[in-house]
Order: sequence, then structure tokens, then C-alpha cells
Amino acid sequence: MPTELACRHLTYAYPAHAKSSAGTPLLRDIEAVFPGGQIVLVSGRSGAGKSTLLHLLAGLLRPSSGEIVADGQPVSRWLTAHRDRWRRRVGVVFQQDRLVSDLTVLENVMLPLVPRSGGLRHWRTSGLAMLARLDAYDLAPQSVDALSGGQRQRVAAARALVDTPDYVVADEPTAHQDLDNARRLGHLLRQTADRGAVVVVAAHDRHVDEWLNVDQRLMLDNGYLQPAP
Amino acid sequence: MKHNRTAQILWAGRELLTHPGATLLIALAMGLLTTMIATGLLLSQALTATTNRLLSQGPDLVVRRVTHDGGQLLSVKMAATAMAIPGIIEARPRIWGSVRTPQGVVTVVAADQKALRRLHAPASIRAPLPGQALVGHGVTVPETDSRLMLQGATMITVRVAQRFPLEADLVTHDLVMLHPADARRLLGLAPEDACDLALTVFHADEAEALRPELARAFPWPVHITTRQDTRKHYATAFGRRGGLSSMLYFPAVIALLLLVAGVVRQQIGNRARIGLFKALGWTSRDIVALQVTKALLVGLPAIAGGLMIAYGLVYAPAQQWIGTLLLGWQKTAPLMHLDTGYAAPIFLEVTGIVLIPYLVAVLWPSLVQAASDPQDLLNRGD
Repeated sequence: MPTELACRHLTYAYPAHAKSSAGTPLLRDIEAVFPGGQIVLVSGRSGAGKSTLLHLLAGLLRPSSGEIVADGQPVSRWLTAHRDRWRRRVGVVFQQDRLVSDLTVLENVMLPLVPRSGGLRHWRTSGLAMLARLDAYDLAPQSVDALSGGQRQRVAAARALVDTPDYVVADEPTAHQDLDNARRLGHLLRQTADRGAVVVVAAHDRHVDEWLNVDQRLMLDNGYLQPAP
Repeated sequence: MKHNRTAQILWAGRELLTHPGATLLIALAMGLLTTMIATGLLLSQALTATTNRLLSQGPDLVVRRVTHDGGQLLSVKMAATAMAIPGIIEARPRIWGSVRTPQGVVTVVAADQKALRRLHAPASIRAPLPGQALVGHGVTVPETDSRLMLQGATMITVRVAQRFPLEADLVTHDLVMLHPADARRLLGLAPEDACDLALTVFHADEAEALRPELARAFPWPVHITTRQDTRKHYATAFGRRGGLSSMLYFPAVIALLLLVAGVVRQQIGNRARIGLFKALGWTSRDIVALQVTKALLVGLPAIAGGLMIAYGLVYAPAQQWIGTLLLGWQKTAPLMHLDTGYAAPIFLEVTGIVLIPYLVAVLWPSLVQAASDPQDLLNRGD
């Protein structure tokens, strides 16, 4: 079966303790398929639920109802241990980069590799190679606290892609990038999709076409996900 | 590609070094805690082992003649009376007493080479010749001429030829061993007088059972002391003073609780990090393995260090505090006997007492967090 992510009657409302808007569905009965080999762009105004949708797709949250299906398997219904293992195949770029401030740039990029396989040399080689592809090789030994917003985003993208994931969810990955670096990242995402991975990007950047070759566009509005006009 | 445990241990070490101050503080707290608990337990074991070892070289039974005024001398011929009782294989009249020196009161005993060998004294230790003395480490002698003035029934001056080994200091600390002729002269004893009888029995276990027969065998009242009585006497004496050392346990328990609470708090504060690790593909098992590795990297060296310090405090020859605490000695301290058969379980016990609560404090929050959704942890950690 080809790689694919899908939402089946997906609804999400914040839990009672989480927000003042708890109980009101943020995402409503979403039906969508994110096929492998394609880049899907999810757009929508701020607060529309793009990040929440990406977190659900990446297995970081469980839906209130409905399910996330990966390669035909209802991963959102799986037990934690099984979802943990499935999540190894997912690369996530967070909107607020979420780098670990007490590790260096290279160590941050190596983080997804540590519990898996290989050794220090393999982790280091893979990390440096991915940083080089995002023009961030020279940043490797630096503390992440010393980086600019754009540099931090590139490091976060390198971390998400370092282990060649089958599913990539990227939340506003170029919010602080200049056009050259945005294109570099767009090219890398394209290559990732071309090897069969599912790539879902959330952005409300009007100039997204300048750096990303999108296959499918979806719009989140009032909790519903529909094809973008 | 295989998992590389060495690399993962190195990574755990790297994670610890991201907060060197906190890591060092926890290691120091665990080391100190281990020292406090292990010192009390080792001291208790060491005293028991050392006392037992020394007493095993002494007589099985000691018989003293007593009157309403206290101890009385007995005749050396009474040794034959004791030997007539079945089960007693040796009876030795002993000469001993307390006398004064310019520096304080000491205990004098008479012994010849045969008596020393019976005590399994090292070959280098020789019985004192007339005019010589073999003394314990608590007996002060002028540095200029090594001569010791003793004031008993008469005053004599002897030359200190040797000192008892430090290993025997628990029972020889203030002891002065003299040639029998010198001891008799000092204590004013006639050639037929003895202070008590030291008896050896065929079966050590039967010593207690021989008490009634011994009491009936002598024409006057006697006080009979078994090795077990002596052991109890030492245990009571040490216990009274050594009880102070048990006070170490109270702050140790408080320290352990504070350490556990601090580690739990630290772990709970780490939930955003754990959430991120889960989001990056770490499984609950990976996270628990990392936390256990980190805990062991801190805990095991800290506990090993604490045990080594405790060992040094109890067994190292130069330790002053044990003698001061238990016996009120001011200068020297007893050299403790290490019984590895008892010390090894103590080491394991202390390791468990300190390491298990620490591991639980590390693991419990990690297990709870590892079961949560990553985004939930990230949100709550922000």
C-alpha cells in the first residue's frame, strides 16, 4: 500500500481544562486524504486550527472523535506504545521551532536519531549532511540560543528531515526565512515528497508559490477543511 | 543497523552535562547520604566483628572469688579444683589489677610467652622480660627514655619494649603487660596468689552449662563470667555511646526524602522536553531507558564514592572519631576488623536504600509522562 495519511470524520475540541474555548469544536468532521508523493498546503487565517490539524496528523494529539488513518491503519486509536513506534516515521517542524536550548545545533538535529540505530559517527554525519542541505552547516557547533529566527527554523527543519521520514508535517516552516532559504527548504520538501513521503505544510504566506511547488491546496475555515479556491 | 549502547550512554552523559550544577548537587547529596547511612551500619558491624574476633582469643570462662566487699584473691592451687570438673580442659591462674601512672590509671596483666601465643599474638610481639613492659596505644610514655613508672602496692619502673598491635586496640588500649614477677611485686601478691582463673572448655557451647558445677566446686562464693557475658558487656558499653551514631539516620532519612522530592520536581519540570522527545520519535521505552541511564550515571559513582568514604571513616587506621565517640579516647583509635561476609551485604543494602528511591523518583514521573500525548506535555510544559 502506498504511503498515505487520511482524516476520517475528524473532530477536535480542546479538553475542558485546556482553553476558555473548551468544548467548541476547532475542527469539524474533516474528511481528507494526504497522498504520498504530494505536497499538500493547508492554509487558513490565524487560529483556524492549522497547527492542531498538523499535530493530529503527526500523532501528537488524539482526536475528540473520528480518526487518523496512516497506510490504512487507524493510528489515532492505537495504544501509546504503538503510536510511539509509528511516530518514528513522522518528521515534525513546529511553528515555534522547539529547539532544545541547552544542546548545540548539531545535537538538536541528531535528536531523532539517538534512540534508533547507528552510533555517534552516523548521527553526526547524517546531521551535518542535512544541515549542509539547508545551508546551515557552519551553525553545527553553535548554541541554538545564538541563532536568528530564520536560522532556528532551518535547524528545526533539518531535525524533522534528518531521519528520512515517511510523513512530514511542517507548520509555517518559512515564517522567518528569506526567499533563498525558503526555496532551499521548498526544494528539500519536494525531494522528500518525490521519494513517496506525505508532506503537509501549513502556511498563510501569500508568496508560498515562490518557494514551494504545491500539489494540493486545502483551506481550513470555521473548522471545516475544503479545497482552496 | 544495530543500536549502539555506548553511544546512547554517551548521549545520556551529554544530557547530564547540560545541567552540570544540578547533576553535581544530586551526586553530592547521594554520596553524602550513602556515607551517613553506610558509616552507621559499617561501624556497628565492625564493632561486632572486631569484638568477637578479639574475645574468641580469650578464655571461655573466668572465675573470680567474691565476698560482700568485692573481689578477693584466690590460690593458684584452685586451678586443680576447676580442672577436676568434666568438660574443662585448661585452668590458668591470672594476675592483673589497676595501677596508677603519672598520666592516669592503667590495667596491668602478667603474661609469659606461652600466654601470648595462646592469644594468637603476632610472632613479632615478645612477652616482656623482667623490667620490660608491653603496652597499649593509650598508655602514654615519656618520649625521652620510654620508661614507665607504675604505682601499685609498690612503685616500679619498667622500660616499654613494645606496643600491642593496633588491631587489638579495642581491648589493649590502656593495658600494660608485665613479666609475672614484676606484676606480682607491683600488685603486692604472694607467689601462691592469683586474681582469677581463666578456663578453657572442651565445647565452647557448654560454657554456660558449667556455671552451676563451678559454683559448687569452690569453697567460697564465685562470680563466673562467660565469653557471652563479656560480649554483652562490650555491646552494652558500645551501644550506649554508639547510640549517638544512630542519630545519623534521622538527618539521612530527611535528606533522602528531600532528595526524592527534588528529583521528582525536577523530572516533572522536564515534561516539555519529554514531550518534544516523543514528538521527535522517541518511544516511552527510549525515554525511560535514557532516564535510567542518566540516573545510574549519577547514582552509581556517587554511591560508590559514599561507600568508599564510609569505609575509610570506619576502617582506615588513622580515624580518630570512633575512639573518641565510643570510648572517650583522645589520641588513638581502634583498628577495626573487616568481615567481608558482613560488609558486602551492607554495601548492597545501602546501595539499595539510596538508589531505589532515587530511581523511583526518576522513573515514576517519566513513566507517567511517557504515557501522555506529546502535545499535551509540550503545552503543559510551556
